[in-house]
Amino acid sequence: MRIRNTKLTITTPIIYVILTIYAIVNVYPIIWMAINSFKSEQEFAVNQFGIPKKFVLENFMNAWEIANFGVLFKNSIFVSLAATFFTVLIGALASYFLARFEFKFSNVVYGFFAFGLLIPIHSTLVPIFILMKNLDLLNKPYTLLFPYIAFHLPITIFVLTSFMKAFPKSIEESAVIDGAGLFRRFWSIVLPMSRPALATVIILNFIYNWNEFAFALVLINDQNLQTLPLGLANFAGQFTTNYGAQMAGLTMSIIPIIVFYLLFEKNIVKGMTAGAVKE
Amino acid sequence: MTFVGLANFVELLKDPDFWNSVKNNILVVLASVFGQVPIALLIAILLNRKLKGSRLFRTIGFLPVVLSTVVISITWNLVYNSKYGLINEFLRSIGLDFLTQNWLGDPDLALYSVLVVIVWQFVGLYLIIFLAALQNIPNEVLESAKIDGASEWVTTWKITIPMIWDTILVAIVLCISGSLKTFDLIYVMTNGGPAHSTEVMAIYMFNETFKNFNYGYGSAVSVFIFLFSLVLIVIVRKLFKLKGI
Amino acid sequence: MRRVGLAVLSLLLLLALAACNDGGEEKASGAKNGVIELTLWTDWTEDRPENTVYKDMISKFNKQHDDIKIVLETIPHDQYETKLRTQAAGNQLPDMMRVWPGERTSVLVESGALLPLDPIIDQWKESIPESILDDYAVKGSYYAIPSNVSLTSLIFYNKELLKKAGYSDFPTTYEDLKKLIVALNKEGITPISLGNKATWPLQSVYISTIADRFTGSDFLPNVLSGKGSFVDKNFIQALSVIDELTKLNAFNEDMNTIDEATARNEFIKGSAAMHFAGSWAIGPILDNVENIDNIGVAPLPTFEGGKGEPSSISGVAGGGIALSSQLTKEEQEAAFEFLKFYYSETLYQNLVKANIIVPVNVEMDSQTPAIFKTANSFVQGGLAPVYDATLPAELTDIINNGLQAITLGEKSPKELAKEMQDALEKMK
Repeated sequence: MRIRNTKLTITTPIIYVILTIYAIVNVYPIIWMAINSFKSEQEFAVNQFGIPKKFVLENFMNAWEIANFGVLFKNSIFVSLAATFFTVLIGALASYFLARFEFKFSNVVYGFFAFGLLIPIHSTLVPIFILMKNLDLLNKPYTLLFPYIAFHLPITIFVLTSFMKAFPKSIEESAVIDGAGLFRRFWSIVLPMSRPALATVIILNFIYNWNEFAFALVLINDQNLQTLPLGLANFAGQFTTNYGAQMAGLTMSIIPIIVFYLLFEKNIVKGMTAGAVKE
Repeated sequence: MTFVGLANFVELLKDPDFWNSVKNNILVVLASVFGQVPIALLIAILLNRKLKGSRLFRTIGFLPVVLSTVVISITWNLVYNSKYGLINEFLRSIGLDFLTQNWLGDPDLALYSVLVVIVWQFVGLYLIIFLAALQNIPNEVLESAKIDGASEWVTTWKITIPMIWDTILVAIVLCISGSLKTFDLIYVMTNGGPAHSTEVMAIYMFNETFKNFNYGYGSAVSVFIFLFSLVLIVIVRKLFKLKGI
Repeated sequence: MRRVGLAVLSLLLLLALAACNDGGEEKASGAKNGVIELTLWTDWTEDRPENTVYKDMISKFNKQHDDIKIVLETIPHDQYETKLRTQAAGNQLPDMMRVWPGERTSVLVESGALLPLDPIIDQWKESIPESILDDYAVKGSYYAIPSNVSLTSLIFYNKELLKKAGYSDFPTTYEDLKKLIVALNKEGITPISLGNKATWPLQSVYISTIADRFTGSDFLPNVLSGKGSFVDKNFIQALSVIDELTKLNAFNEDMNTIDEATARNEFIKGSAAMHFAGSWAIGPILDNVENIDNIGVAPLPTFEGGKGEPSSISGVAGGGIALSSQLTKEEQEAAFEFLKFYYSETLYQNLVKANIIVPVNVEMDSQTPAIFKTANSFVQGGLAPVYDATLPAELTDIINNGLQAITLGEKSPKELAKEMQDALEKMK
């Protein structure tokens, strides 16, 4: 015990120094964004670094009204949550089979999911647009769910499969002996044990969906169905940009993601053993 | 629309601007694989211990993933600016004027400056993936290693890393595929310039498709990106000698 | 505890689903209950005076017409082309859309997507000079009516800083301009604020007029039709001006890493003596500069030995709205009626009040800022073609990047001229 203590006193300060430097580099942009969201256009033009001389709250009001943020927020929340839900549900099922069962072509199936990772998004815009048009799926509240689920399944499956592969098989085997069926094993053993990985992919999916721009741009025309990233782009014109309002909009738009992150983040580091025992 | 056979591909392989973007893109892949993954792993292992404030650090570590590319691009442009940017101001204030550079304006430096931002932006992503994977290591294993007198260094190398090897591979695959289609940040930050020095394949493809109205040619670039990623990933997989991609 | 996450998620999902039901109605354009609905795509996303003028005209039209309804869809400018290209590939263009002159319009025309406005063009033939109307013409047919004129080469200058360097009037010759630049540098003042990150300013703002001074306005159309070549002594001399200015340290050192708006802000802040920009900068400068009397505007100087008209300035029509060729007869009539209403005296008058240069003659009162009046008077000198509104997209790309390479010392003016000519010949 004593040996460990002396060791800690040497390494802990170094660790804190590393982490603090890392933290400062990470926090700077967000603070800059928040500060500049209070500057008027005139002030932003002459002062991009310092604290505003006068705090202008109007940026937030302008952002909310001009960009129609109320509607955009509602749409973004719906699309992000729904797409995340389905992606993780489908992804978890697929990962379970890919991680736990050797079947014919299982590598091929896994490989197919990998393909989805390799295509640059902008080259898929035109074909997806035409496909969605022919299926009469443009401009619907659920339009964006299709590409979002399809394009984010790969990363979801990758992370979950690698995680599930690392489980000790013994726990599940004892459940088989107890007579638990396939779905019961999935639902009450595999899912709870995967909680850290599930939380990870839920967070990642939510962020991807929340920030996705290209598909939202081409697949949706109806202003009442648009999502936040489009509204945020509205502050930039051909020759001018209203930085104050843009920063105010961006500041407001990251609050939900941070809340969402904090909600699920605890699950990432809560040990799997604790979860399994409770079950 | 007329079928042009392989004409677009022939044209593509003859274009020096395209090969320049391939070269830049390979540097992005290398920086991501050898930058993002080790840094994320280091910080994940540090944060996985019982440290005061580790939750705060985890959240902060994740912030860049959450931030919009617009904010990242503007703030880093201000950091790099050659006249009043933070880096050059700092160098001047400690009397190292000769080290000041036109970080983004010098074509020989611009790509490296951008690479730092790319690495920084995505460390948080791999950080939480690794953190999740680390939870899979039963405490008993680590405890027993400690009782056997293994140093922390040895435990990390001999137990922790082998046990999350699968996840590291996944991270590398994500890194490669993500880097080969990287677009947003560079597009906003430098527009691929100055003089093509930061242009990557996806930007080249985007410009051909939507600016030069050359749709077939742009698609040829995409096919190239796809095949290139596939080959790289297969090689990595062989190197890791593991089953599955 | 274990299901908390899942439960929260499903609950939110349900709420969101319920909340979203009202937004889901599909809006198809076309006739509905006798009302003809026409969608119009624009890039008027920003809260700027000119955009308000445009939008007001549309709501006024909608109010006065029970049988026609214009539905506005706004797309951020930087993404407009991406969206338009994609929808065009899927044969889903809107009924009406904002278009820009040059290849951005002609590509659409060649694919048969646009409807010629020839039946109604006479309406504007009197008021708008033919050379400006022609910017929106492709092969003899007109496809849009301009609402404004973008002068792309104006010099805004800071009178106080010029005085510091010993100048009370803006130089009129290139030789004098160079002397001014040297004098400013001696005083430690950045001569010209340039933001060339997006690579178009050096081409659109600088070369369009500089090259015209050297080569004359016929040069560009001649070269493009094969009657001339970019490898031309005068054209190379024009490109060399950029090289010369760079070597004189005329620009801020971070010119290739900041964008146009940032460079304008540096000028507004007073950290540079001059800023070369188009008429789009007038509004933002008037809005944000502390003392407007301290700012002057001048045309580009004259160049010795130039073959072109020494007072002309590059400019191009803007603000045009094109119609889709897929409109039914009924919809066409409605769209024509809209265009006639929209491009009227009222529009141009209101635009002038928002400091936008218009293609028609409009009376100005004493309220009009001096800068705007001066800039507006330059139109009388005749308009020279703007390079990126005339060149094919591929060539624009080459000259944009080439000019940047010249400022970095990576390419010589001669090499760039040759590269442009080679590309042009390959395209045929």
